[in-house]
This record gives sequence, C-alpha cells and structure tokens, in this order.
Amino acid sequence: MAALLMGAAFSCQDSSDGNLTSDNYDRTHLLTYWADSVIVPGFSDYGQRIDSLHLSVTDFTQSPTTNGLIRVQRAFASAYTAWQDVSLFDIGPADAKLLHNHTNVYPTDTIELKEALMNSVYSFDLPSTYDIQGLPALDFMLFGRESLTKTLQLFQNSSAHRQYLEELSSYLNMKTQDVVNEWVSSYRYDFIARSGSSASGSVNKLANGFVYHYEKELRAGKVGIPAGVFSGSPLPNRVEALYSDTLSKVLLLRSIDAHKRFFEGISHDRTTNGPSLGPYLDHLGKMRNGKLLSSAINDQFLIATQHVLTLSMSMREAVESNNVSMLSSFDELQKNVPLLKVDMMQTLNIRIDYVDADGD
Amino acid sequence: MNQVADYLKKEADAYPLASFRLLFGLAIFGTLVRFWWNGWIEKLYIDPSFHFTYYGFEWVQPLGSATYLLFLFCGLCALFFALGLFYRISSSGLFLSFTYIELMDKTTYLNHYYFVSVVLLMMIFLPAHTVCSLDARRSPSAGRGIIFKWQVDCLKFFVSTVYFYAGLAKLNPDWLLEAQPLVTWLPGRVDLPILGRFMEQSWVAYLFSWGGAAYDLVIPFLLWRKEAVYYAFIGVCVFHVLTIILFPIGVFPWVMIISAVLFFPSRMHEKNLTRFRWLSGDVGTKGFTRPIKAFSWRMRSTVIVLSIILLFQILFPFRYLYYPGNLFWHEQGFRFGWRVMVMEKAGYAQFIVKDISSQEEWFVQNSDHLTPFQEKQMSFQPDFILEYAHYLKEFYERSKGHNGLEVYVDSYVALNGSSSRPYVKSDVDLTKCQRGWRHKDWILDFDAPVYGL
Repeated sequence: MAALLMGAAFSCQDSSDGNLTSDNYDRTHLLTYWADSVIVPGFSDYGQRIDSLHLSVTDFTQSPTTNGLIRVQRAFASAYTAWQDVSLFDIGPADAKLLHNHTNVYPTDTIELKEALMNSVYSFDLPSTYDIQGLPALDFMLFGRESLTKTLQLFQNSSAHRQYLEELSSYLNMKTQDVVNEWVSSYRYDFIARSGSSASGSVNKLANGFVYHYEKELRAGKVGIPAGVFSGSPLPNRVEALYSDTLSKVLLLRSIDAHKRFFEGISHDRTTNGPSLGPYLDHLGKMRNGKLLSSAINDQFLIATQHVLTLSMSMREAVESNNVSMLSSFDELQKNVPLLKVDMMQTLNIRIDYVDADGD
Repeated sequence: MNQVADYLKKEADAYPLASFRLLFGLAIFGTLVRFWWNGWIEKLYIDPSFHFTYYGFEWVQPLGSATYLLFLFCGLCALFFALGLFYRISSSGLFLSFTYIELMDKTTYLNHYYFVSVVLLMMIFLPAHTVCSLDARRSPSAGRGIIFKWQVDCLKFFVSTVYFYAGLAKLNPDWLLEAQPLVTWLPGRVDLPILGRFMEQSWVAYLFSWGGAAYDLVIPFLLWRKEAVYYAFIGVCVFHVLTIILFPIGVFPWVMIISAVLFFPSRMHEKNLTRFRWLSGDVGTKGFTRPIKAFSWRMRSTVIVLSIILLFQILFPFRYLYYPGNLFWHEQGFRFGWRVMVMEKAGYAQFIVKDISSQEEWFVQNSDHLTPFQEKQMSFQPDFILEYAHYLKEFYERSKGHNGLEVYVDSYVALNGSSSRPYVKSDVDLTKCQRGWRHKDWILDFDAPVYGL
C-alpha cells in the first residue's frame, strides 16, 4: 500500500510535467530489490526445503518406517509449495539448467516410470525422462497407492522403489542447489548489471517470464487444461499434484499469490514493499477506467483467488464434480492476461516477442 | 507538352546514380548477411509451421531449407548489382528475390523493406551501371558519363514522397497533442548514457514528435535545393543516427542516409568515385559518349513504366479513405503508406473453436501454431487474425476428421497508450468472413463503449 501511495505521488509529480526534477524509475534499484529481497531468498528457501526433502528421503530409504514416510510426505508438500514461489523466475541459471523441466512436468507418465524403475535404465539428464522425474514423479511415488500402509509396504518390500525414490530426490536436489548457488555466487550480479531495455535486459526478461508463466503455467496448466478449456472435454488427470490430491488447490492458491506478490513488490519474507511491476506502472501514472492499472490487476488477482477458494480441496474432484466453478476460476484468471500482456507490457515498453527483431 | 519533352531531353551526370547503386547494393548485401548471421532465416522462415501471406500472394511461401539458397542468390545479386556487373540481370534478380523474401511472411513487414523493393524495381529501368561499373569495363561502348536528368529525378522524387507521406502520417492528434507513441517508447530508454535521463521528460517526447513531423515534411524540399543540400544531409544524418540510438530499427536509417546521397551535386560523386576507378578502368570519364536518343521506343516505354510506378506511389497510400473509422485501429489501408513508427499497438487474441455437431468448444493455445513473434503481430492486425482463424478451421477439421467447425476470437487491443479494449466482434464466426479489399465490418469501432474488461 505504501508503495502504491508512493507511486501515486510520483505520478502526480510526473503529470505536472516540463521540469527536470521528475524522477526516472531506477532500474538498478528495482533489479537489486528483486534479486536480494524476492528471488534469491525465494530460491534459498526452496533450496533448503528440497534439501530437507532429500535428507528425509535418505533416512526413509535406509529404514522405511511409517514416521519416516510421513516426514517425507510433509517435506514433499512443503517443497512443492515453495516451488510455486520461484517457478515464475525462469531466467538465468533456472532457464539455462532447464530447472522447470527437471522439476515440474506433469502429468507424470506412470507406465514409463514403472518401466524405468523396474529395469533401472534411465538418465534424468535426457529430455525423454522429464515426465518421470521431479516433483510430479515424487507425488506418484509417495501418494500413488490407496493408503499409507500400502505405500509403506511397497517401499519396505522393493529395493527398486527405494532406489528410484532416492535417485529422484537426489537428482532434483542437485539440480536445485546448482541453480541456487549460481544465483547467489554470480548470476545475481549479472542480473543487476543488465539494467538495459533491450530484449536481453533483466527487467525485460523477468517481465516476459512472469507474463508467460502466468498465462501458460498458472492459467492454462493448473486450471484451463484440467478443466478442458483447451480440449473441449475435462481432463481431471491433468491437475498438478494429482496423487496427493488436496495439495493441488494449495499449490494453485500459492501460485496466484506468488504472482500477485511479485507484481506488487512484496518481499519473499513478506515484510517489505519495494519496487516492482505494479509500482513501476504507478510511477508512470498508468490509469485504466478511472483507476490505477495496477489496482485493476491486483483486484483481478483477488477475484480469481476468491473463485478458486470456492473449489473443492481436490482439484481433480473439482473437475469431476463441479467443473463449472473450475471454468469460472479460469475465466477470472483469463481476465488478467490482456491486462498484463497488453496494458502492462505496453506501458512498460517491454516487447513481448522475446526476439530482438527490427521495427519501423 | 513541349515543356515535358524538353524536360525529358535534359541531361545529367551519371555519377550520382552510380554512387547510389554502389552504396545501396552494399547496404542490401549487409542486411542479408545480418539476417543470416542472426539466425533469422531459420527463426522467421523455416521454423514456423504456418506463414501469414499477402492477399493475392498466397503462393509465395518459404522454400524450406532451400530458403538459404534464395538468400544466397539474393546476396550474390546484391553484390553484382553493387559492382554493376550484368546489371540488367542482376538488378532484375535482386528485385525478384528480395521481393519474394519479403512476401513469404507478412509478419516481418517493415516499411523499409517495401522501400527497398520499390527502389529496386525502379533501378531495373535506370542506367546506374554506365560508369564506375564492371559492365563499363567489360564493354566500353556501354559506358556513358551522361544520362537523362529524369533518370535520377524519378528516384529523388520517390524518396521525397516517402519522407513527405511519413510526415503527413504524423499529422494526427495522438502524435501532435499527446506525443504518442514516443511518450510511451522513450521512458523505456532511461538506461541510455547521457540522453537517458531526459527520456521520461514529456517535453522531450513532444520535441521529438513535432521535430520528427517537421523533419519529414521539410527535408525533401531542402534536399532538392542546391544551396541547402549539405545542411539537409547533416540533418538527415543527425535524425537517422538518433533513431538508431533510440529504437531497434534495423537498416532503415542507413538506407535513408544512402538515399540522400542521390541529391548531392555530381562533382562530389565524381570525386569520390575516382577511388573506384579500378572498377571500370578508364572509361569512367564523363561525357565521352552521348546519351541514346531521347525518344526511342525503349525510352518511351521506360518513362511510362516509371510514371506508373510513381503514380501508384502517390495514390496507393490514400486507399485508407475508402474505409470508415480510425485507420490506426482497423489498419485497413495502413501498410504500404509510409506510416513509419506512428503508433504503439499491442493486442491479445484468444481463439475459440466450436464444433457444432458435438457441442464441444475449446480454446486455442496460439503457441501451438505460431512463433511468439507471429503471435504478437497477429494479435492486433485484423487481416492476420482472419487468416489465422481460417488456418485454425482447416487444422482442426483435419485433426477432427469432419467439417463445419466455427472459429471465434476474444481479442483486446491497446492503441497509443489507451487501455486495451475489445477488438473483434466476439460473436462473429470468422470462418464465414472472407479476405479481401472489402471493409471488415467485424472489427469493433475504436470509440465503441468499453464493456467487460
């Protein structure tokens, strides 16, 4: 709110025009804030959770007990939730190391997964294995049976399952720590240094990634595709976290919240309001139908959240029993796409095509 | 009538045209190399599974990996053209291959590519190879230091038209009163050294807007005046270098700077071209042969062809008057009219396919069919939207195995800093609409009340 007021104050100054005192938006400050208060803390947090997940898996595979399994399941849910905070920052090392592909390609191909598990021939480096690794594969391994007891028995009786579980978490941990370390050690500086406005500038890339992620991963991936918006008929098996079931709605809400917080400039620890896309729009004084564009976008985030809250805890169940509310959630998420992709990007003068092509 | 006949007999030096040929050919060659180097041949012409075509030129398609050969051929023609070797053949080959490349996908339409095509078409009919060329060396009898004045003037006239029309296009309320789109674009360049800190000042946007319009309207007249041409050229350089700094504008500034060279007095060209004496041997000296007869059959037909080209250039940009509504909004008659950098427009188009027989409908993921660049260009240009809708119908009818699908679009467009608003009537089945010159009444009015979002 403070940022909003500040932004509004700035924009008032701007509209008085003509003098040399009006401030330019400090992109270096913006990027520093994003790196140090939003992205790096987000990745560090996620990295720690993935690390604890891996530790709990190692413990569990050495001595498979009920408590051990519950610990793994909890660590998994916590890591999957934390992933929602950082998955929208698919640039730099995350992009270069294909973190998304190694982390969250769903639905997982259970037939292929079982085959790989039984024959022990697979390499998680290969693109063909994206859909048998990462969090969705863990989801299936940990929650794919009817009950906790059956899951426990399976791991107790099958060394192949223990081994596959162990390798899933260790590979994911390795990939994740790679990305976290590179952000901390070098990419942070690169990221801030690229304060230019070309297609390779950080503001440009992050804003493009944000819009892309909102449209493709959140709107389409989490809601539209399972609701059948893109296929004509509902596909309940395409929801995220299909097997842990009630986690799916938690993840969706967290993802909307992550987009909203990033847009508003709220720090990862939620204690600070800083510069970001929303305040940048306010700085430029962008209005829409008599109110700030940033408020219009924020309001739409809230409306979408309210619609999602009415869904049943399991998104699969929501699709199967009450798809109308899924579709209405989709519609509300959809309404922010033109605001972000057209109004926001145009106002910030960010080209949407990710290509340094000519114009005239 | 006598005046016309007298004018057509007037003579001029061949040097300005020859310098222009040399520089222009090299600039085109550079463009092609840059295109190749940046990987754009792959990205723009080979990767996409679908290409947006020009009405009437649907048959012009990329040639798969042979597209590289097309660029190679075009590049060779450009070099031959620059050197003045087999000029009639190389200029024809250059015009045809360059224009073919431009027609392959209108996603890449840029006014300056069109400019290059028109100039090349005119160059086929002009004797730009009579001095300082390998042709002159090959057969000294072809070398002529003197050509007709109209043979240079027609190019100068065309360049003037481009500037003047670009200036006219800027005389609209958004440009003059709101400083749009510059007031949107400039703040994005705050990172520039020295200039950067002025970029968010709105007076700068107004200065550039008014200055740009005045420049475009006045510069052609200054270039024609002998006593002003050097100052005008400095103006041309300053203006275009500024645009290079501020905008990702490609080769356009270089092309326009090179074109201004046409206006220089010939003694200057002669002086500069002596360095290229090796091209033509000694035959480059001026005045050794008289021009061919003014009223030969060939000359007459050339004059007629070039007059038609110029007349077309004068009239064609005004076709927009035939369409009601805001030109920048509906873009009917927008292209091929030298409306350069006059608007900021962006859109979003969500297509919905309806299968009446099964009562199914689904949204289209544009990224399944289009590259990000194509999607961006498609989403605010109605002829793209229509062509894509027809493509979607065909695509899904093939995959569904039956006909009768309908395609609708939910689209939003923002123009010159206005908020995004609905663009195409969302209840119109686009598969029922045809391409063509007719008014597209399925586009909503710009001033329609904003509803919904």
